[in-house]
Amino acid sequence: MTLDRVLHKSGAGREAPAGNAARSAQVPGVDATAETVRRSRVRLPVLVSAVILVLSMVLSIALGAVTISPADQISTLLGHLPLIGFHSGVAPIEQAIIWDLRLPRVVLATLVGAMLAGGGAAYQGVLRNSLADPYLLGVAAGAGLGATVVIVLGGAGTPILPVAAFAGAVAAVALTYTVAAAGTERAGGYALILAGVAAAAMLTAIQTYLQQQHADQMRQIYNWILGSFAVASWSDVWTVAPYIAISVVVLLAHRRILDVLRVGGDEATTLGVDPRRAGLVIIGAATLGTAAAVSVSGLIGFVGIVAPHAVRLVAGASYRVVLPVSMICGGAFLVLADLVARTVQAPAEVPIGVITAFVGGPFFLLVLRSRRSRHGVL
Amino acid sequence: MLHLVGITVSYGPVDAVAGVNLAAADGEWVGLIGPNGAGKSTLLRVVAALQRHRGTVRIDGRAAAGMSRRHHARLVAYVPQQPEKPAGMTVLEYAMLGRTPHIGYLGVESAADRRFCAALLDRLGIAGLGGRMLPTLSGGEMQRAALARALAQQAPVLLLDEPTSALDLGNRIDALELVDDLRRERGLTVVSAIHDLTLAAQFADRLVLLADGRIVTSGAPCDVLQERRLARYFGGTVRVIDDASGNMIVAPVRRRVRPTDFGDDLPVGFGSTVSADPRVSRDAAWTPADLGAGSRVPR
Repeated sequence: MTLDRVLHKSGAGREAPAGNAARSAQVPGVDATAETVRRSRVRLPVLVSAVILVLSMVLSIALGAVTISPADQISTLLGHLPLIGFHSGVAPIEQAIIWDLRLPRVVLATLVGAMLAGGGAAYQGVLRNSLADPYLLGVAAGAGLGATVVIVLGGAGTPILPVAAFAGAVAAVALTYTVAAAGTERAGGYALILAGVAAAAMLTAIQTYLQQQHADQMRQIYNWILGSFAVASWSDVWTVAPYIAISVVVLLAHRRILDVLRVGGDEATTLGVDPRRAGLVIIGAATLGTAAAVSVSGLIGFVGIVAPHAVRLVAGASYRVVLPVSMICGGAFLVLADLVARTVQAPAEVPIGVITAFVGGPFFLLVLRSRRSRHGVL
Repeated sequence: MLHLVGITVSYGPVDAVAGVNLAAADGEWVGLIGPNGAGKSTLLRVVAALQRHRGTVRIDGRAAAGMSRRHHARLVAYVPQQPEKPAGMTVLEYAMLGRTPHIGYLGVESAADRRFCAALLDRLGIAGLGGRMLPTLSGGEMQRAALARALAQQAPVLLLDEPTSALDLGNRIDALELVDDLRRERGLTVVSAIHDLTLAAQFADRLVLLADGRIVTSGAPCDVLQERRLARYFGGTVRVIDDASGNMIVAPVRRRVRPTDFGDDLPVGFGSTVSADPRVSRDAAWTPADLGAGSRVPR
């Protein structure tokens, strides 16, 4: 009988007796494995990365010019919780350091890191290009131009700066999409990437020109572009949190759709997903969140590529794992990078973009040399 | 189940498919045959709603043009000639993508979907491969994985684009035999583009011969596969042989007779080769210069 031959040939005969018995719909062994594999694949990495994030945050709040114990951190936090009326015995000056200086900085770094990493993963999924990062379609160039315009007009440090950076970023991606739409239909993701490169080059040229014309503000512009959390405050957190929250929710909701898109536009279409519409929603959400993030942090590079790829190599390539775990790890990575940035040359600060690239590059190479990368997970 | 009326696909001034009318009954296996570039794959892409076209496609009595992609995916499953193999995706995850049209847009697979797909892998004889990564699969295993994903859609129409092209001889028969079993079990309507005419003859209920985007003829394999017709549309020479068990075998035959005797030291083309077509033998003739120094050319 042919079916028997089929079963034996593929080696499945060892698992199930060939013939009619193998036709039964219930396959307990297979089913149980499938179920456990799926659950632990998402939960364990999320749990582990969440622990890493919390430890990074505690460490980052603890270290600095004044060292603060985890116990003091906890009681200060409790003291700020409404309704319970907890009175911490921590000195007011230390409370201020925790609550007004380090905590907003750590929270903002977490939000920005999570957004850049999640945005990078989403861009890589939609464009099916492992080198895609959240800046690819012109976010960085647009935000840079917006910020530069405000700085040369004397608006450095004002609330207009993040607004202009945000507007520049969104406008740049809109420009990229318009140019790509004029391209050929078949080019798909490539048209978008090429349009992004072209738009970024143009905007960067304008930005560089402005920068050269205003040499006295060059240092401020340069500092903004390299990124920093030095002046992070709760108002920054509340400004970007809504955008990042919406973006994160939309991206996580699309985690299965991103998995469907991994088989390419045509096959996704035959599975009932409109790849253009899904891509537009995902890119739109990732862009909105990324634009908000860079508007308060500057252009911090490398997080959007390093975090998702590291997660893929360690925990698997499904976006159900890659998206949430990249976000958590991206947050932890940026918290630690910021810790290094403000302590390594204290009291001076090193631009955080320098740290992320300097640490991220070799780390990435290390991950690439690992066992899983040789099994074609990337 | 499937009705195509006046299907035309134009690439610029060229019609890849020109005015094709085609129907497939419930449970029928229709084989699309024809030379390269005849429009077989394009026609399949039209039915899969991947190709802009003129004319109407009706599936199960409903016009495909007004259908949502989701609804379409519940009616038509498509296995491309070379499916993408995303890195780091397991066979079970891949099969579960086929549940997409049955899951809410932002939903995830339920335990029932997982059970369904695990059972499908078992039915296709690849239960042991559920955790394997796609890029590590052999051609035959990948073909089954792709079939599992398509069957997970639970669509009554199954489109197969050259399902055997990546497989060796034994695997081709196995794969098509499997499709045939599944078709009977589930009452699937199968439309496949198929290169291998012998397999097409043995598996399809009906063959449709396409050439230059038009249907030349269609009907039972024994009526469609005639030596002179095949020679005309495919070029070359073919023999159609009925073997003892009633299977049809379509075999290509070389036009030029192979030289069997090198005994008299004559290279090919020097008189010992017989050809029906004198032009062929002249073109193929070796000149002494080709043979270089020390050749055994008679003086």
